[in-house]
Amino acid sequence: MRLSFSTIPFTTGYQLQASEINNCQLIVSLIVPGIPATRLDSRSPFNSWNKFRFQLWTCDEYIRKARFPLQKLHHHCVRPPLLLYNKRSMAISQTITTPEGIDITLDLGGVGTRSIAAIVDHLLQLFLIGLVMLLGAFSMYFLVGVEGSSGTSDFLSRTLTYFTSHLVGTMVVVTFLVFWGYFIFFEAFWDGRTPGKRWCHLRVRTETGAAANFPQIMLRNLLRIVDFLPGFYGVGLLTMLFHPQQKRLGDLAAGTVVVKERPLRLTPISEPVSSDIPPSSSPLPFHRLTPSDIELLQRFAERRGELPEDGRIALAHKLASGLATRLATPLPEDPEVFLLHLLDGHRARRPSR
Amino acid sequence: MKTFSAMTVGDVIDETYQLLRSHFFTFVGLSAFFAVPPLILILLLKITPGLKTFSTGEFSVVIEAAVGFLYAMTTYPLYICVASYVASESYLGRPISIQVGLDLFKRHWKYYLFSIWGTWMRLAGWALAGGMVGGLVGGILGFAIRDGWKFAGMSAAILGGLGALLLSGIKGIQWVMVSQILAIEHLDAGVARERSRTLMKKRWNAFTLLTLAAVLIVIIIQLTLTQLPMILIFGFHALFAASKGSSPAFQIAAQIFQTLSGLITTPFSILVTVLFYYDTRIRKEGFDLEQLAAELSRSDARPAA
Repeated sequence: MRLSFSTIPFTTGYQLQASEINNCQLIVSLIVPGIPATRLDSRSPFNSWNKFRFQLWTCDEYIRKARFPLQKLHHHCVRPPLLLYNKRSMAISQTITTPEGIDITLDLGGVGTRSIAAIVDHLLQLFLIGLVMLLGAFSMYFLVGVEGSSGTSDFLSRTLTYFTSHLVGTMVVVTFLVFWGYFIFFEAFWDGRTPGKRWCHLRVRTETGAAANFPQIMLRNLLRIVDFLPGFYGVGLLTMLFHPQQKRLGDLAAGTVVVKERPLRLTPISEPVSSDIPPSSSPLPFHRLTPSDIELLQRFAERRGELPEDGRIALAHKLASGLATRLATPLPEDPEVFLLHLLDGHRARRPSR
Repeated sequence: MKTFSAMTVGDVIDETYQLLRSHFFTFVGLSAFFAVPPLILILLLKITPGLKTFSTGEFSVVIEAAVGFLYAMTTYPLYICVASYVASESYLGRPISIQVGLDLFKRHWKYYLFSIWGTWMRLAGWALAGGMVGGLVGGILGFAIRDGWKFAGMSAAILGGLGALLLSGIKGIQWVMVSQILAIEHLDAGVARERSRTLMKKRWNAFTLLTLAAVLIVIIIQLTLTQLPMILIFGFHALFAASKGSSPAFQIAAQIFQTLSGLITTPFSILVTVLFYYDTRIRKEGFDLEQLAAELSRSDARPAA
């Protein structure tokens, strides 16, 4: 069975249970009441979820530990944890097919997001190195102060001298470790993320979408110094400009990619959007709405809260006049209300099962 | 069907890089059309025996600066509008080529040139006004604090400069999208300035962040593309050349690499601004929904069951 999760229609008959696990990912359980796989085509009716071209994201559990039997999802109605994100059409992406025949599209991080993540990480590194220096300076001041004071025993004095002489060396080693080990440590033990990457919703993966192993992480980070040449990732930036997947040299050598995780904004499926506006006086031709019209109406309903008032009114007028012409209805007085009534009317005709 | 959505600062730069990569030769070719002639002119000045006096004489710096300024004043407005249009077409997923840009150039060069000049003149006017007000305040304050023309003159110059910078800076940011609006929406210059001001409302933070990030990347690319080869050439020159010091060959090489890096970084900057313009329209005007509606009206859709 070949099944692309990007084409699963989340019709009103299906349900999604979502719970946020952090600010960029969601665990979503999909409950499919025994629908045969053959019904899963992209032209099925829409509901509010359709605004997202849902993509099955690398389900950490699935690809890493895994081989989670996703076919069971349809044949036995199990509820697997799916990590979903909304796909952006503009992004650089790479599609891989799992042994189960499932296409997974990895949305790759580009120069901008990776640069911002790198800036955050390097600032954090500088902060850590500064902190180590400061702690070292304070410790040295304290130890020398105690050592110099009268009344200390020979043993204590010798111990303090020992620590003082080793403190500088320790600071150098710690600084070296922070400089070289920061990325390796975080990427290896935080599942391909560093604080900067987490902030920018990025994660290091292998080209197949699996979690990168330790040697790969080691290699990509040891080559960071080459990418950094002649300063501030000059070579890395140029390599990324000419590589189709925008990889730097470290990624090329280690066979890794940096993927994007998109926050998913959830809106209730059946919540009426026009509950605060008066009901429509004349019957509207809901039956003439096409799936694309409904998608447009849903996106308008979701976006209208974000748009400034004048922009929203102008947009509603444009959309409503286009729809009114197509549906052969008179141009409404209030275009926004007209659009919302159309959407609610359509939803009322197709109640959730 | 291409879908559009609002972008973060990182996304804008990602997308810029992606578009630049996809249409690399178109953007570089278009830049070369405007950037190579002055390079040839400067090289001719440097290597032609009869003209050498201009490039090596006492006033060589002034002559080069004057030539560069005049060339920039006449070509930059045209380039920025044409490149913005091509960048916009690439973002909207339409086919682009150097020819598309050159056709536009032929049709609208007067409109672009005079519209941008008009905007620049207004900017200069604002700078002058800011400078005059700042200078006046500075002069009065300086004279009040310490009785003496020298101190008053100095404070007038400092506050005058700051005033000019402040007012022209504010107006410059408000009108940052004028070229894009002229090229993409073909509005009258005055309307374009007003529209840019409206679009930029509450977008200053995003614009500042994006500019910082983009400038950083542009500087890195420029340094890498110019300094890395120059270090190699300089090393080669130091090892094998008979004469030491800054030879004409070295200067010519520096000029060539500078122009080459500009061929990549200039379209990058223009793409960033175009994407910022579209991002602002998506956030403020629902441009993504407009596009979707336009696509739907073009397509032959069936009613839902």
